[in-house]
Amino acid sequence: MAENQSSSQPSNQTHFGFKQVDEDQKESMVAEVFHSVAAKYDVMNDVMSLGIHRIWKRYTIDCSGARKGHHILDLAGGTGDLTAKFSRIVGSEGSVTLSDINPSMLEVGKDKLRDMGLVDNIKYVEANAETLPFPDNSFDIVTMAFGLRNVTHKENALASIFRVLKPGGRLLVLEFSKPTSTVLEKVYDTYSFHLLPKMGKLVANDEDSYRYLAESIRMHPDQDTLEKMMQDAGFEGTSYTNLTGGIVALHRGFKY
Amino acid sequence: MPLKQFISGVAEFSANEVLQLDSEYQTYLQPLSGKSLALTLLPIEQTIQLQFTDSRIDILLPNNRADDVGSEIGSEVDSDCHLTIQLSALSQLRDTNQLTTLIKQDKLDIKGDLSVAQHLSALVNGLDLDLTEILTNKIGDVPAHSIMGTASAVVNYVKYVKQHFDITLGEALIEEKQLVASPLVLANFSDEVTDTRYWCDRLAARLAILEKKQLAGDK
Repeated sequence: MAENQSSSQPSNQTHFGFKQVDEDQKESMVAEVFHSVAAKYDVMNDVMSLGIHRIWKRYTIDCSGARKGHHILDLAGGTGDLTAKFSRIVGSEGSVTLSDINPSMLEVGKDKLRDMGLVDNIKYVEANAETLPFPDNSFDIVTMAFGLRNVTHKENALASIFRVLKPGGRLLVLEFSKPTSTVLEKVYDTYSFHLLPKMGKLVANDEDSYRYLAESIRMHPDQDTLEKMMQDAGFEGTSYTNLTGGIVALHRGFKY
Repeated sequence: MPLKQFISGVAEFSANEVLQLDSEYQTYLQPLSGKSLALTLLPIEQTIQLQFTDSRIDILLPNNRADDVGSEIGSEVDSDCHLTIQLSALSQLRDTNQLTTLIKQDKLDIKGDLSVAQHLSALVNGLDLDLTEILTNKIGDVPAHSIMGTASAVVNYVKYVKQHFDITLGEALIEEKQLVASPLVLANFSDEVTDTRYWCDRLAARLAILEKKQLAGDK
């Protein structure tokens, strides 16, 4: 799978969609994509997924075990969909840290959450998931929704998350994955590579970014590979649940 | 697609839309702000958690994963008030006077702060939804009056059709197809059963007397 492909590349090369690029270039290239789509990110999510991304995110929140007083890190939190709900659950005794490497996405998220009246218990941190600027054992829950596939060194990000999680804490990774049915995979491929870039051009006037999105999904590790990566990072009790026929999977792991 | 999350999403959206139809809804939500109430429905063993703020209600389905081996139902729920109720008794929950009866019948179990359940009940019962007024504010007097008049006529017509259908169906089953007994036949049958029971009792009593006499004669 993608990780095997990565391992066969020269050590300073990585993938950016289907292209091979220098590792130190990927971060800025991904940043450019998200700068480009930030303003229309929520609209495009609704259009691309027909609103189903909201159900996937609800499922993630329901599986998080979040409760009053918890400290939660919403990593690559983008426009703050998970943060909004977590903020209401943890209440004034807890906190939610919305973190994203991309300042444009973070700014859109900040505006959106302030407009919703959510200000008291939310912190905003611009951070790289590979080198999280938080003390060890800081968070009860870390979530990462549709962010891990854009990280250059996923194993570093998982290790960094493991470090900042409290013992007993859990990681939830919601990410595009591999459809479990070949028929669905074919339909999904047709949609991703032909329809999605055109929708991106129509709605956000940005065909290339949405072509990258489709390519990055294909290069992301499949369900079992990602679960193994989480185990290698030290997570225990790992499991995953396929959603919508494996188009998306929710991975879960605990730090004991 | 997770169906339960879809349903909870629709329910949450609908609940918040309905709340906002009453201009006083924040008055009712204020005492619940920051509180949570969990409702475990038996026998389906589904827990629903309501999280309140001063402006909205969030609906969560905690611990919903079937692969949570060994976890108890509702074990991941941390709420201020936890109600466990039989699904059949759910409709009676709205009336707070029924709570003691339901607890005695083992249909309801309450843990935690009872005032949260009482405030929720006050919220549900206190919502004043005058649809004509709501529509008037949005589309004006005349269209609102016309729409509500039409809606009322439609409801009355549907009620009339249903009543008519019930009567026709009843007559067809009783008189034409004779699949169901009429109330008169049922009453007659009940009377005959009562009479038969009465005569049986009399016969038993008479037999008892005769047996006594027989025994006395033998002695």
